[in-house]
Amino acid sequence: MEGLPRALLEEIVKRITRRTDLNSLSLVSKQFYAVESENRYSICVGCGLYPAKLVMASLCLRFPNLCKVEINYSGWTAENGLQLDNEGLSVLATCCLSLTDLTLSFCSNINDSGLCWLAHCKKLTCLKFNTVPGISSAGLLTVAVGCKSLSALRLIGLEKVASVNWLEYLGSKGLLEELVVVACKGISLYDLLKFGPGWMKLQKFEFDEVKGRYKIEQPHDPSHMAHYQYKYDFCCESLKVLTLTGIVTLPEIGPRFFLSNCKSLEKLCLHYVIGIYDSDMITLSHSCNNLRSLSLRLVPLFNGGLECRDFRTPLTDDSLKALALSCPMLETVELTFLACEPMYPSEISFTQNGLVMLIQSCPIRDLILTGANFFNDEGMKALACAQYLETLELMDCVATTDTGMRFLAHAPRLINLTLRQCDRFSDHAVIEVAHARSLESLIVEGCRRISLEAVQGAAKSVEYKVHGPGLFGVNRA
Amino acid sequence: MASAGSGDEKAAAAAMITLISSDNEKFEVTEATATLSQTIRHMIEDGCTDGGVPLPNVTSKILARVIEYCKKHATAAAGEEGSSSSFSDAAFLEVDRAFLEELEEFDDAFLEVDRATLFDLILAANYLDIKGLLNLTCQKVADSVKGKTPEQIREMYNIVNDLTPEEEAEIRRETQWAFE
Repeated sequence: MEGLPRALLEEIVKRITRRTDLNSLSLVSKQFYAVESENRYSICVGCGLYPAKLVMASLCLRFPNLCKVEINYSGWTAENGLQLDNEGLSVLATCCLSLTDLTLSFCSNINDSGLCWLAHCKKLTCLKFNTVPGISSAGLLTVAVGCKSLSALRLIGLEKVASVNWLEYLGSKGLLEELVVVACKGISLYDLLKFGPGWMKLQKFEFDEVKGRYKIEQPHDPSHMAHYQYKYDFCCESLKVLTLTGIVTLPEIGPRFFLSNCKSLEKLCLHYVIGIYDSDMITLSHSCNNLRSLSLRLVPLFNGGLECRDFRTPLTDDSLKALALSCPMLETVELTFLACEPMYPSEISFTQNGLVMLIQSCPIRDLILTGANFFNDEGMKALACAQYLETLELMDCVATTDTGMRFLAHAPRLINLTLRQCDRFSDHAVIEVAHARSLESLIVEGCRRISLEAVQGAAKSVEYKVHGPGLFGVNRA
Repeated sequence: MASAGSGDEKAAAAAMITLISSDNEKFEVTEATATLSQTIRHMIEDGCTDGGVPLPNVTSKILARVIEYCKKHATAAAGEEGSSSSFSDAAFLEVDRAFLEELEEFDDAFLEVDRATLFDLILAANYLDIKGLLNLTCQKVADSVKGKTPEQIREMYNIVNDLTPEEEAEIRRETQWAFE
């Protein structure tokens, strides 16, 4: 290998992805150490970093081409020694000239004054702060003003951020393409109005208002006040990916305006959003003909019907029908139903007919159904005719049995099958499908009647767990 | 690409190119096969292939292997273009899948060579600028170090360790700090 020119040696090193393999490689010889160091573009450091500032300096020296750095102190205790502080961050910001992507997670010694240094990173485009308690609005404003190339900002669990002047500034610059705000108490849905012209350029937006989850309050929308300077009259024509979680919206109030204003939308996730109705989905499907991916997670709600007995999930087959008719590119669909009782299938307002219509009309390649109590063997029969279906995941689907499973043996393109917490499927039917389809991957978790011995070797890759992950434990890459 | 007239394609298929290895052996190949190499494609575009293309950096043994690869993959490319129109037809899908699997098997078998040949193939793929082949062969070497210790890698590729024990210890310490 030593005889190869340097450029080709680099070609090989670039294709080694596992960290442990790269570490071994760097210990082979001086040449390999040098090639590996120069081709290391990303590192993740944390509790092992001690003494933090010195080590950071030597890492920056060893890896001159670092673009992506993550500093993650998750699980840190005092025994790990002092965390990297503002000064340590200044070392990184001044030595690491190619830095484009920085993540700070659980860093308790970094605060607003440390963030000033980030202005030195001229190439910095992507910043993520996760649970950095020292960061407040002032720090974010320094970042907004100082980091002129910033195009993606992800804020998670920043409790000290109270005002949004930084958001207003970023909006006026109009350069941000991705904005993620998750579990930041001080940033309300209505603060986002101040992003104003920034919405025109934004391509990806995620908002998760954890505090509002499962709590229906009458939201107070400042845009309804007389003379309030911010209105919902901006368009989001670049927005491609939209994720809204745990928020409350009402007619003419809040983020439902997205659903009629994003013509380029390709991926939409509405997770436990309260206040979305069929009419919104119909408007959405008419305006977003490019929609490729839809994830709906729904909980049953009191709809104020007769004696308040009308307890069901908010969207009906009318939504599915509108999507089926107007979204010819829809290829990825997740439908998750939380807290719906199998004894009362009518708590879910979608029916099997509605879902089958969607499957028959759209080129669905990837389908996830969780807690879909209405979905039975007849529905599985419809999946067997789905021309494009490659990946199917069923979780907590109590009405499907082996009979339905066997239909999948005829699904023309099925290659990935995941079964979680489905007790009515047994070894025989699953193996029959795995063999008939020569599955690439088979994942089985928490299905009592499917054994490890039976499924081992049934697909190119098999993952098996005795226990299911539970709805909130699912980790879908 | 698929919109190219079928008449042109036939004409291209008929045109033959002569490749001359470093040890002066001549290989007749179709233009479709030869143009998988960007280097040769440019020569053809510049019209300097009359009288054969001399490849002074590639031996006949290696060139024969490279041509074997290009022939297989040129057919694959042509096959893909032909079937794309009947995309929704389930029967064609099965054919496509079988074809891709066959190609994968071919690649696997193609890589069953000794280390010296593998490195010669990398050098040739680089010189001839054949992206697919370069990727395939480099990946093979990259995969070969998977899960190996530094000692095993040195042994496998006859590499002399020129790091001092102090340097080694220093590198090991640095590795502990950074994780992923």
